[in-house]
Amino acid sequence: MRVVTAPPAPQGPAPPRKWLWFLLAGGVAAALPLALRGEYALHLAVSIGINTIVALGLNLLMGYAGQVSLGQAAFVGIGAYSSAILGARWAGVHHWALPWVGVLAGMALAALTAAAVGVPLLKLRGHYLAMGTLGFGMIMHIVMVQWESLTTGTIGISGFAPLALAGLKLDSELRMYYLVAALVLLALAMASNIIDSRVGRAMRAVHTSEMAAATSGVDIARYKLQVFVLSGALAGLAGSLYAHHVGYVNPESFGFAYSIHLVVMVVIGGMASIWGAIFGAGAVTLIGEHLRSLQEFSTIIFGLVLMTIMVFLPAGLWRGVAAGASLLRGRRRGEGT
Amino acid sequence: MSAPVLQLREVSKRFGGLLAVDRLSFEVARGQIKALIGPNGAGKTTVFNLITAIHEPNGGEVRVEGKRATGLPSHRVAEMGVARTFQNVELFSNMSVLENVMVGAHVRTRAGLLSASFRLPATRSEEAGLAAKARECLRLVGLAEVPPEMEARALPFGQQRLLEVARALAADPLLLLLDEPAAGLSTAETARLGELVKRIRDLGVTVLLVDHDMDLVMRISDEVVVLDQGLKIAEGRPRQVQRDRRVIAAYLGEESSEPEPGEGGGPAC
Repeated sequence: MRVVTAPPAPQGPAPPRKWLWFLLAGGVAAALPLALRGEYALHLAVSIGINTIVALGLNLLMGYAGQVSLGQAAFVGIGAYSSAILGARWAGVHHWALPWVGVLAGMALAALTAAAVGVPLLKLRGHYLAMGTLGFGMIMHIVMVQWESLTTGTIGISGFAPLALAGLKLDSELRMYYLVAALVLLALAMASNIIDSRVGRAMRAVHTSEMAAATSGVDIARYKLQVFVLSGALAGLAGSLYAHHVGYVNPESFGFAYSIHLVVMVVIGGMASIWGAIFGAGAVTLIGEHLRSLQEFSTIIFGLVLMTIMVFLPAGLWRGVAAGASLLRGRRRGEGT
Repeated sequence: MSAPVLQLREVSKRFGGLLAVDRLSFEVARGQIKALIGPNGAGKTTVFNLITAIHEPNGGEVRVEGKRATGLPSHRVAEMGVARTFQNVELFSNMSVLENVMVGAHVRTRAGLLSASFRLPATRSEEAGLAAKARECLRLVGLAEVPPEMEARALPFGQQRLLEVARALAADPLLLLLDEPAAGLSTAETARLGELVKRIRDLGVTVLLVDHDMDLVMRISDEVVVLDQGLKIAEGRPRQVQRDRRVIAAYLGEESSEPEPGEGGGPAC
């Protein structure tokens, strides 16, 4: 048999238990702020949530459909700049729904951009696709820096209104936390549904054998493009949330380094693992935050951490921990008999 | 409805200097089991790849139920009712046994990205029907005992071949192409495979198969096409073909007897 290298089959819990996982995750997410002391911890939690949304989209693309993107930061940037630019333009108008128009515009623009560049780029495979998306990411970064009349270049944009739900301004870390947590759960649920559907199976089929997928009636180009656009839309959403969370947008945040961090989140969390996105985003965000004071040394330590994880937990943190837990359980059961 | 299920008209395929298939024409009538045989390198798998649009022919055309299939992408040919298996098993190794078969029914289902995201009622009932159908296909090929949640790559080789057949059947195909289904199977497994192919034909599926197992081919086929170096050297009922001098020569590896003028590989360019 020609076994194409692929991640282990998703150990998706059986449908009847799936909603239990979400209930549990919802409970944990709702209670988490009680355990987090201080604004800074909440701020990190929001950042992790935002990165989770991007990593989830990228995992659908990479882990499930098998298509690499080294330019995902560009879509986050498109979302962030859409919200910031529109928000700054509308600074004089006060209506709570306006920032949401910016969010939708960011998602839509990111999705449209993904569709436009995806048609030619997704004809490439493997390393060539990686290089193509890398080039796209670099071009978008240059646009953010150079198109000063629109983006103000390296100065960045601030002074746009926070998100609000009717009268409730989401201007505190706690309120932002609950919004992001709800969106993360929604995105996770949708992704989980997609994976266990005709569309998700088609995507996974494309990953392992394009030939068998095509002769089974799967329109390969169409599904590659669909998942690319979906990952772009999720990245755009995350970008808009980021802009409103930080209140400031600058090209530095959406460069090559961030694209690589996103790929690392997917790998650390576990390819083809929905819940792994949280772990990957959490690990990379926290490591990045703690290493910030070390400046250039941080890259070295970051690399070492990545290598360690790849060597010892090649299936990612989430599966590694799950496997370790079941091993321990088995051992304990073994002792009992 | 008089058009044959499959028609090849003067189909040729060239790989660089090699003429892999040379102006090949034959038909497969509805309800037949037809076999495509020939020595190694005769171009049998290439013919399958031409029918399923993995390769595009350099000349000639393929018609399915009288409609032109040549020029369409593979997934459109699948939509026309052509399903196949592969000589080197091509399963979706990262999916469960059941999911592999469910992909096979892709052309018979509709759910799109949005309805799938929200698990709309239509999608839910489609999924339930699909899973039931997939189990039915698994039962038909004799994999009812295999846990449907098992990873496809964990199956023994013989069962992987059967799983490919189940996946192809899930598309409710008009025409099933089996590429060396008996390769690597034991004698007992091959005998069961022969019965399975006949049962599939009895369900109304036309079958075209490639295999090296002459016992199997001669026992189950209604008609046989013999290829040698891309050329059709014989076609007919199994008995006729077996007595054909050119066929015997091709299989015994003699100098191909009296090549007809204008035929033969010849220089490629």
